[in-house]
Amino acid sequence: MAHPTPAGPCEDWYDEPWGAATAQADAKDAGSAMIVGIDLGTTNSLVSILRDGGPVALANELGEELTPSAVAFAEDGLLLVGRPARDRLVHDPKSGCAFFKRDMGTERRYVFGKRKLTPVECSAAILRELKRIAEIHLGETVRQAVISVPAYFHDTQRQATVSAANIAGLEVARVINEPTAAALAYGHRHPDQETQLMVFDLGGGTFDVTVLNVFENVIEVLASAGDSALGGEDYTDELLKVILEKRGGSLDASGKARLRQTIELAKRGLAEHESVERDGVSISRADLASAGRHLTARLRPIVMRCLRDAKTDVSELVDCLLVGGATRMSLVDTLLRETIVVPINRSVDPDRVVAYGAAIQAAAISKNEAVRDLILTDVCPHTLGTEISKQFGKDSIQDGFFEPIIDRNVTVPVSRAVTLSTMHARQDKVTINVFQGESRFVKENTFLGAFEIKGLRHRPSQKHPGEFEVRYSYDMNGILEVEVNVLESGKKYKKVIESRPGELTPAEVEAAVRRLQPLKILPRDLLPNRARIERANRLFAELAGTQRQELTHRLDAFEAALESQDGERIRIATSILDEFVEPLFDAEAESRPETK
Amino acid sequence: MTPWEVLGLEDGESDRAVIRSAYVVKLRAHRPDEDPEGFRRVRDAYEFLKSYADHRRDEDEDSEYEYDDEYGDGARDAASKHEHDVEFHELLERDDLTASEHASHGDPSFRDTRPREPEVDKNLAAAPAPRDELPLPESESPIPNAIHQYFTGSNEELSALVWKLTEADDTEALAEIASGLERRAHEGLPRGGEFLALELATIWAPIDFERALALSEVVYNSMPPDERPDWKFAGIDEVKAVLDERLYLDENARHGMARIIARGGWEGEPTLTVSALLKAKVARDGALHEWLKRHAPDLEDYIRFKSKKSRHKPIDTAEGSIGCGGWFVRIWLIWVLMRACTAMGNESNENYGVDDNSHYERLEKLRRGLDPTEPERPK
Repeated sequence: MAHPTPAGPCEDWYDEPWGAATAQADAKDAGSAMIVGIDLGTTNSLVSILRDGGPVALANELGEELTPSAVAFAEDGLLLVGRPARDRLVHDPKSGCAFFKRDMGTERRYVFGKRKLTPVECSAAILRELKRIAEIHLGETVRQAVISVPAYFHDTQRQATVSAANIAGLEVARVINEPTAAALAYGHRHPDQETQLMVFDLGGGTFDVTVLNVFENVIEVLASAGDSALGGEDYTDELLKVILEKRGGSLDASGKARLRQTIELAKRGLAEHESVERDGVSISRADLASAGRHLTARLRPIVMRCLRDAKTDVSELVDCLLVGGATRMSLVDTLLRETIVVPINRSVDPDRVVAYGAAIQAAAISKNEAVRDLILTDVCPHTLGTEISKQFGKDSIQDGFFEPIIDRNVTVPVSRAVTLSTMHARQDKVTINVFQGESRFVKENTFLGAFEIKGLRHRPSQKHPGEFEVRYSYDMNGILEVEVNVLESGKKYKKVIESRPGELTPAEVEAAVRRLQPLKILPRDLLPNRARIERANRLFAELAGTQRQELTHRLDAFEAALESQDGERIRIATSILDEFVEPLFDAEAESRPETK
Repeated sequence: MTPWEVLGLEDGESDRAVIRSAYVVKLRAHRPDEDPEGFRRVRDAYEFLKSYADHRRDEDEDSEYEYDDEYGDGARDAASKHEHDVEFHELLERDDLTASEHASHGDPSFRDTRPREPEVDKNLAAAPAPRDELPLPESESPIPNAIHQYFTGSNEELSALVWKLTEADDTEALAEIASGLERRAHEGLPRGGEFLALELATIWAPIDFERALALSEVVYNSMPPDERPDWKFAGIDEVKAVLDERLYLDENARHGMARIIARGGWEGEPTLTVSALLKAKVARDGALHEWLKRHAPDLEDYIRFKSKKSRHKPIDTAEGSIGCGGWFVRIWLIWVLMRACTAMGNESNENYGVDDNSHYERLEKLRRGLDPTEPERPK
């Protein structure tokens, strides 16, 4: 087994410092370089590029295209990313985390032993890994990426994603909505087909639904709605809760993590079988449906709201594209077929289509001829507005009302204005509070920023005493610009809303890069070996008796070989270990369709 | 630039497919990521034309609906109750018909009363007379004697007349008064004429927006230039243009209305309240009705207050002219336009379900200038 080693100075064979890649995207030749498309998912992430006019997913050295969105620290302080991290989390859940996408844009911090990471930094580690994979394939430094986010991500969450990319040394060429990306990939394949379709995107942790029109190479998003905290992982959690309740007793964290893993795999099996039994846990489709019924109940209203916003009737929909691994659950099928009644289209690969779309968007940005004709128009799925006070009757003034300025599901880029005024003649100052949300009251909406304007006190012979125009402009990257124009003086105030919670200033990006620097990043040539060890460790936890002993022998030999840094010895030890591990893993893989 | 011009279409084009392909052509020239400004312009035009096309299509479907007899007696009752409205719609549809065609159409009560060029007036005079077969020579007063006498009456009497006629559903007489007023406009309205015209405009606003606007315009033009309401726009034409352009678009209509209210009125009052409440949704969900109900007393007080303060006489003095001070007229015009918007909003949205009589009842009330959410106004 690996010896616990204190986090010492970097060994020479993995001393590529984390920050090296952060030789920021300000490098001059950024223009000609390839822009990659990245799907940063809750469960899995994926990088894709456009090759020969079509999108392809890029695989790592192990031939895996899907990189699990998990990070973990190995005993020796190495930062594990992807498959090895996920495997490690099963037997040591406290060593790292997964599903951090759900905490994007919050102030949350994870503590792993002595180490602290923010959700943004965890995402940065994944993006860094994807960047590395892309660089292997392209043989050049990747500086720019199109990154997909759930359509229903609000501004803060989008900004957090951009910050993560910056830490990973990537410049974000465009943030694209996941369902839009899926539609783009679909539209790219069927450019001349004219359809009105719905994209139903139930991923690991987020749910989006988008209604769009595809015609004459134009992809026109009509409306998006969603829930950024509802996905396949929630169903697994619910199943876990039910099963734990049924069993009684208590389990330690590691036992729970193992049970959860078992349930997760069994749940995936349900896509093909009516019921699945796995390591003593038996669940059926009915169990899943009943455990997650309150989750399923949240899906329909969102779909209906989206259709309403799109001014589209269900009967007008030609297809419903299913995106995201969780759409393999049979209950999604039932919901769409029987409750909402819409034809289902499973022609796209639910795990990869979003990354494909991101790659197509990336190609469009770099003016690739293959996608030159494709035009995409998207919407802003949230309402943006400002805080106002209202006067009811003569003496009753109430504040805290939300005044929508840009309505949700308006095609972007968009610019809208309202004229407001001070509440009374002697009022001189006004604070413009910028909010995002759907509630009538600002306290239930998300605060984005504020600024103050002055000089509004009424003076004699004014034509517009105390009046000012507030204009919101929202661009394709989701950047909101607020402009206030005082009608009387013609004075203009302008502000780009950028200081949002969770967003990092350049100095903070630097700091995060520095903080991550002492962490040893998995070196290129070590990845397969690392993955091997973590996989073997996981097997170790599952095996027993002689099999376990056998594994221990081979694993020890392998680690000793690695220590020796003798290439020939490592090669032999590897084959000895693989010989034993592979058959066991293949057996597992067969019962597990690859899902997102 | 009209939306049609932006997309390079023929004026008035309402075929969705044609509109969309024009949009696609313009979209390629103004890609959202390369030319955001241009894209916004193209997109705004496209969205306007899309809803315009929908509106046209709905209207077509609605009129077919009326003649479909598969719904039995109840449907016929409802339909006949709705007849007037349908005819108004037809008139609105037939924008291109000349006045003489209207007359020969055999319907006396729905004469085209929009302001027209002198030669159109001649047409009207030469056209076969409506129903009573009597021509209305230009030299004579076009207002029947029975009605004419009221022009010497007090405001209350005028008002009473109008309400009486409205309740009797005597659209013919009302139309007669209206067209009479319009024809008299260039030589100055008779005493109380402004008041009457505004009353009529109020009644018509929800039903026949064009007519209401025309009547408002009569009042506007009849005022001495220095007394005319001080629109911050070039004039009523521009208000009309704004509304014409915006009416079909719910969102833009809201913004447009808000702008009119914000720029045009409530001197020294919190514009915020008015514009915010109005913007809250023009009649899409009855919000405006609620608002009117709640704020109408304020508005009336305000008018009263203003007219007292202004150099014009208060509105309820019986002597002299009605005293249509700029403020008074302006607020009234805004009121009329709001009502017009209300009606438009309802019509473009309402499902003309035959099993639902409340719609007709509401329209009926609107036609009488009543608040449809309130019980009958006392006589």
